[in-house]
Amino acid sequence: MPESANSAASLEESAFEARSQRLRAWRRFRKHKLAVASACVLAFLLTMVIIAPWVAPFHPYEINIETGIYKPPSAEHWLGTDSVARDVWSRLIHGGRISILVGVTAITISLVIGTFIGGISGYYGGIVDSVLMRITDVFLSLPTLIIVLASVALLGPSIRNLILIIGFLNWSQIARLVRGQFLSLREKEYVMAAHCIGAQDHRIMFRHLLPNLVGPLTVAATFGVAEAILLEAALSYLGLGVQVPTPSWGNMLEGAKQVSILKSMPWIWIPPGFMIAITVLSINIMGDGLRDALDPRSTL
Amino acid sequence: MIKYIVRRFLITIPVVFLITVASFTFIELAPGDAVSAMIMQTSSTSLGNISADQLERLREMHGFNDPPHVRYFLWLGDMSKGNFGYRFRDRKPVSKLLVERIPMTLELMSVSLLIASVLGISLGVISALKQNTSIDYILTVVAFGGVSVPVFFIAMLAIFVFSLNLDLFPTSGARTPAVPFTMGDHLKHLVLPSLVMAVVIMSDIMRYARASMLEVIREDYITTARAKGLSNWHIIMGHAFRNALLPLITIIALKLPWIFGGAAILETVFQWPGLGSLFVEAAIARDYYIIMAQLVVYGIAVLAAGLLADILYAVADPRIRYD
Repeated sequence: MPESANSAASLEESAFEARSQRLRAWRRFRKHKLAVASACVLAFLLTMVIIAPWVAPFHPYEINIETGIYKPPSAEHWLGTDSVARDVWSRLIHGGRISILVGVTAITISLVIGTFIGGISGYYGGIVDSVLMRITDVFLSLPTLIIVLASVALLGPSIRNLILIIGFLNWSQIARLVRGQFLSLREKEYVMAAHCIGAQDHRIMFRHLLPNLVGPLTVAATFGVAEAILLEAALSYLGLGVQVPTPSWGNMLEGAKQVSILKSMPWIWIPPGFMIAITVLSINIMGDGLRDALDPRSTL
Repeated sequence: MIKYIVRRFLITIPVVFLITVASFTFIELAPGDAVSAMIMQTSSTSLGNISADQLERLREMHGFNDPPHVRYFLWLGDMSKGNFGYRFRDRKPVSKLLVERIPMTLELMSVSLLIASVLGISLGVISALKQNTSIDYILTVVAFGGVSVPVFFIAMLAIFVFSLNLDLFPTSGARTPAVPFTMGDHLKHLVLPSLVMAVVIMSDIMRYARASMLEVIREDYITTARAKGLSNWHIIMGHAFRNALLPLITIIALKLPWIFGGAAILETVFQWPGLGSLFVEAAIARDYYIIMAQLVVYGIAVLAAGLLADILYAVADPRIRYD
C-alpha cells in the first residue's frame, strides 16, 4: 500500500525533523559559552540545595549555645553563627531550598494561568480576546512589588501566600506571548484539518497548538523564575516573606538591617546575598542562551 | 497635538476612578478588618480582652457596618476633600505624610532616572556598535548583573564600602538629624541611594538600548547612508541614534511601575523618607489607611507615566500625526 508507506515515511521524516530541531537548538545553546557555564553553576547549586539535609553539618534551627552568637567563621562553623547561634552555612544551603522552591512553584502557577488566558484569548479572538487582553494589560502595568507587599500585608506572610501571590501576579507576559502565537498558529492548515476531522477545541489547543510554544514558554519561565526569586528575596528581607526560623536567602539578610551587623559581621549577610545574586544571574544568562537557541527570531 | 494631549488626558480620568474602586475592593476582600487591626496597633490590649459586643459597637461607630458601596463613596468623598485618614501609630494625617514624602521620592527617582538614562543609553549604543567584541561582552555581563543582583544587596554593599569603611557618605536618611538643614548635607545623603538606583535602572535600559540600536543599524537606510559615503559618526548620530531612541521612551515609561517597587526597597534600606519606605512601613504594620491611599497614589503615578510616554513619543516622532 503506497499510501500507508508514504505516511509512514513522512512520520519518520517528521520525527527526524523534530529530533534535528532539538539537536540544532542544543548546538546553538552549546555555542553560548556563558550560558553553558551558567547551566553548570545552576546544576551544582540545585544539587547542593537538594542534598542540603545530608551535607549540612547542623540542623538549620539548631541553637549552638556553646559556640555563642555572632561568632566569625571557624573550622566548625564555616560561615560563623547568627543572632541566635545557628550555623550560617547550614542555613544557607537550606535557605536555597525555600528560595528556589518559591521561585519555581510560583512560576508554574503563572505558566498555567498565562497559558490558559492567553490561549483562550488567542484561539477564540473577538470580544473574549478584547476583554481578557484589557485585564492582562492592567496586570502588565501593575507595580508588582507594591501589590505583592500590599497583598502580603493583608493576607499575612507565609510561604504558601507568597507563592500564590507571586504566581497570580506574574502571568500577564506569558498570556501575551501565548496569545500572540495562537493568533497566528490558528490560521495554519493543520488546524483547519484538525477541525475538519472533528477535533474539539481543547484538543486543538493542547495537542496541536501548545507544543509549538514549548521553546518560547521555556524561555519565559526561566526569566520568570529569576524574577520570582528576586521578589521572594526582597519580601523576606523586608520581613514580609518567609518567616524565621525557616531560613531563606532573603530573610537571612534581614539581620543586616542593623548597622553594627552590616559593618562588622559580613559573614552573616554577604553569603546569602551572594547566593541570590549568583543564582539569579545564572538563571538569567542561561535564559538568554535558551532564547538564542529556542527562539531565534526574538532579538531581546 | 494639543487636541491629542487633551483627549489622551480625558481618557485617563475614568481610569482613575477604576483605580479607586480597585484599591477599595482589594482592601475589602482582605480577611480581618480595620477595627481589629487598629486595636492591635493602638493599644496594648490584645483582641481577647475585648468582647464581641464592644468590637461590634466599635465597628458601628467607625461606620464599618455600612454596605460597601456606601463606604466607598464616603471614602471617595473624604479623599476628594484631602482627607485620607490617619496613621494608626501616631494619628498623623495620611495626607500630611503624603505631602511630605512624595517630593522625596520624586527627587530620588528623577535623579537616578536621569543618570540611568544617559549612562544606559550611551553604554547600550556602544555595546551595539561594538557587537561581539570584549567591550560588548563586558557590558552585557554588567547589565545582567545589574538586573540579577537584588537591589537591597547592592545597597548594602554600597553602604558597607562607601559609608562604613571609606566614610564618604552617610549610611541613611535624607539629612543629618538635629542639625539645621543645608542643601550640601542633603545632597550628600542623596548620592548613594540615587547611584544604586541608577545602576539597577541603567542595566535594564542598556539591554533595550543595545537591542534597539542593533535592530536599527541593520535597516536599509543605514546601508544607503553608508553608500552615500557619510562619515560613521554622522550615520550613527544623525540616522541611527534618533530612531533607536524612540522605542526606548515607551520602554522606560513602561518600566516605571517596576522602578516604584525597586524604590520602595531601596528607600527602606537607606531609610530615605519617601513614599516607598512609608508603604513598606504601612505594609508591615497593616496600616489600612496608608495602604489604601498609596495604592491610589501609585495607580495615578503609573497612569501619569503612560500619559507622559505617549506625549513624549508624539513630540519625538514627527511621523506620527494625531488629528
